[in-house]
Amino acid sequence: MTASVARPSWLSPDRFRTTPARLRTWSTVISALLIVAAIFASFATQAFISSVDQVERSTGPVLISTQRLVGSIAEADAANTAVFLSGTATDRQQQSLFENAISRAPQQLEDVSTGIGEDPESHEALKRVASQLPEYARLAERARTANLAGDPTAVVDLQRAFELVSGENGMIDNTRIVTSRTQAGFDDDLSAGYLEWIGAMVALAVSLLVLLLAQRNLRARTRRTFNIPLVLATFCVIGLAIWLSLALVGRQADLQSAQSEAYDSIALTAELQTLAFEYKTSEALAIINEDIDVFPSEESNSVIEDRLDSLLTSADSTREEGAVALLKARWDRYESTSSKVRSALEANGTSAARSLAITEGNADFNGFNTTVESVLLANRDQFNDSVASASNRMRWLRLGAIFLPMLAALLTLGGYQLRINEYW
Amino acid sequence: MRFTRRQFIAAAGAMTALGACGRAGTGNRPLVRTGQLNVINWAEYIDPATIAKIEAATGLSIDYREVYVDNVSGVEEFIAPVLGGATPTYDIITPTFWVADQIIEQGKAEPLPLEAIPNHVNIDPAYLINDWDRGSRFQMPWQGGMTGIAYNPELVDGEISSINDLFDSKLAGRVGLIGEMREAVGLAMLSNGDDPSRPSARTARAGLAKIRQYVENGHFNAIVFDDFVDFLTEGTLAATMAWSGQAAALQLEDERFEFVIPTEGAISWFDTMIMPLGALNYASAAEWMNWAYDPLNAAEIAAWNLYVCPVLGTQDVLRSQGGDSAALAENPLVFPDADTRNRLFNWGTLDRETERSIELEFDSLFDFFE
Repeated sequence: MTASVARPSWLSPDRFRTTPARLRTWSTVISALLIVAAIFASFATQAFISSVDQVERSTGPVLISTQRLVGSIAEADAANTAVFLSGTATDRQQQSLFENAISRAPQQLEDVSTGIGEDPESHEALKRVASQLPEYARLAERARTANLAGDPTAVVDLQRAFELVSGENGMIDNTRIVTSRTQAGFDDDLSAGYLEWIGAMVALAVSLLVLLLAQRNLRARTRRTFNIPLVLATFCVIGLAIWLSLALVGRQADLQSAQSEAYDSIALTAELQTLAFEYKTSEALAIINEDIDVFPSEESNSVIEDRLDSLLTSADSTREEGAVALLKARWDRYESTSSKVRSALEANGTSAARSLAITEGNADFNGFNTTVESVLLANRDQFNDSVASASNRMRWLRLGAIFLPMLAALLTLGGYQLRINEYW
Repeated sequence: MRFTRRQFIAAAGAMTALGACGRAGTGNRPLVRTGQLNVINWAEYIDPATIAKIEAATGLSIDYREVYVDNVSGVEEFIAPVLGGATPTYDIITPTFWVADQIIEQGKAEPLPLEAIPNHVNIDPAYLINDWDRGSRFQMPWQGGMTGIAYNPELVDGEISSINDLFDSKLAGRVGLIGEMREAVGLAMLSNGDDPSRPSARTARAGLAKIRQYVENGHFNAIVFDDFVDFLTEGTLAATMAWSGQAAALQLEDERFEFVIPTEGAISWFDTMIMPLGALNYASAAEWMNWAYDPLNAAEIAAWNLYVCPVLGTQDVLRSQGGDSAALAENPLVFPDADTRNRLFNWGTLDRETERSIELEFDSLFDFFE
């Protein structure tokens, strides 16, 4: 049964006291609330997407590019040392290795620079590397030519070149800054979007509450159990709340998996590479200065072995274990040659030590260094897969965050309109 | 419809563009043992008896085919279909490194299952430093080689020591040109005083122009691949650009022949084992690779084909075996010493477009020999 009433004038205050007017007010308020919920949900979605984008475009690629840059510097330095120690103009292969590695580095620097975003500390560190790199190449070349000419200042230039690489505030130190800033950034990305999510959930909860009250109010007024459009609008709100929560949990799980299964391994491998490079540099300095005290200590080797064990422990698949086993075998091979170099130096056989270091030692170090890169790239793929999974979760969420509340608002307006129409 | 070599090279350009959006697998493919293996390789790279030995050692049933004749036809017949998305009919193929580079770039190579290839650790580090596959994640070198000069001293009236000796008019009409662009042009670049490991469009074209000039004037009378051995023994050729392994084998059979690394240098290359994306017998392919990288087995392979061995530890194995094996361990064509390595040049990187146009132009030289 419906009541038939005379239409009040638009300007009459009575208009707002009629049942249709009250119903219209209800529907307007609920729609407004749903629009607010849509805005909050969009903010939350945007925050989720931005954090995943940040990880996908920046965090992972920056860490990998930084380590590839370290790899190039290590390869260049190993080759440069070999050319220097061989003291001949004909070591074309090592010279070519040096030049190739040096020519790769600027692109890697560019890759890092593109990925680090606005972080001023990282940019400063990169700026220093960018100016140190050509200076290093210039010093290395000058040391090589002076060495060929028998000029004793060659060693000074070479040591300055070493300083630029692994001295205080040198290229390796600067890449460490970028790495640690990136790691901190990743932690921020992992926690991003929580506040926005809470905001969206509050807005959706309020909308839901009001929708339930509206349903109750309508039932009292019209004696009908359900207003179907309003029920559907309620489902839209509940659905969006569930979807947003699942997206948050899923994103968290994917990014944490990216972190634990790949990123931590990348960070550990990166540290390992730097330590190994410092080991190699100490070995070269010991040979050049004929000073056994500078030779890398047993302790340095133990630290590297520890990192390799940690890497093996953190491997989460037989494939990764296989890769780390290769890395360990490559290190053992290099370390064994390095021990022979040490023994030769201790026996005052500088020439034998040089010869061993620039042939077998250098090849073994390159074997280790490139295997590090190979492990890094495998972890990058694993990392990308996890991040891509997080990204996929967000694919339709942006649209859903707007569409579902809007649909709910339209359903609410429609549902109320059905009731209002019964009064005319 | 079959492509001509030239049509294929042109078509490969378009395919590169299409394939560029591909992505290699991430290496999580499970290892499922099928017991089958299909291998495509170049001729005379392994003793047929060794295949039976591998079957006995691994329990695999191996279909081994020596049907990879050269890189252009090999790509056309076996690799292009895989690049186009077809399921591969083989599990391992051994193209030359620059073809492997393109397969990997297009995401059509399976990542190596390292847990099943512990002998990966025996790859000579010299093969790990390639920019296109740092650390060898997608391929394992099968054998390396050098392209230098093989000749019959009786027919050239003396010694040949330089690439320019090959261009000497006294050899006109009796010289063979190797049919691989990077090796032929690379040697010509060395003779021009240019570095093929750092090619530019200008220096590479200058090398090609020199070859074209000598093809057009009839100085080269054959384009050769591994058939250079036949041409030399028949006496059709007095000297030729030649591959080190087959030249070394020829020398063992007939001491009249010489193989030299020219004073300007030689071109080094390697053919490499690669698993095409979607290879059906992925686990078997890993078993084969692991077997081949055991130094004991690598010694057997190297002793048969006499190409450059990329497996660490093989030289020591041969030394320990004494006799001919120990002599082989000191052969710089199989185990290049530091001096030899310093005289070898790998073909460097040119931009794809320039390289393709040079490849096409080089291929047009084949018309002169038809």
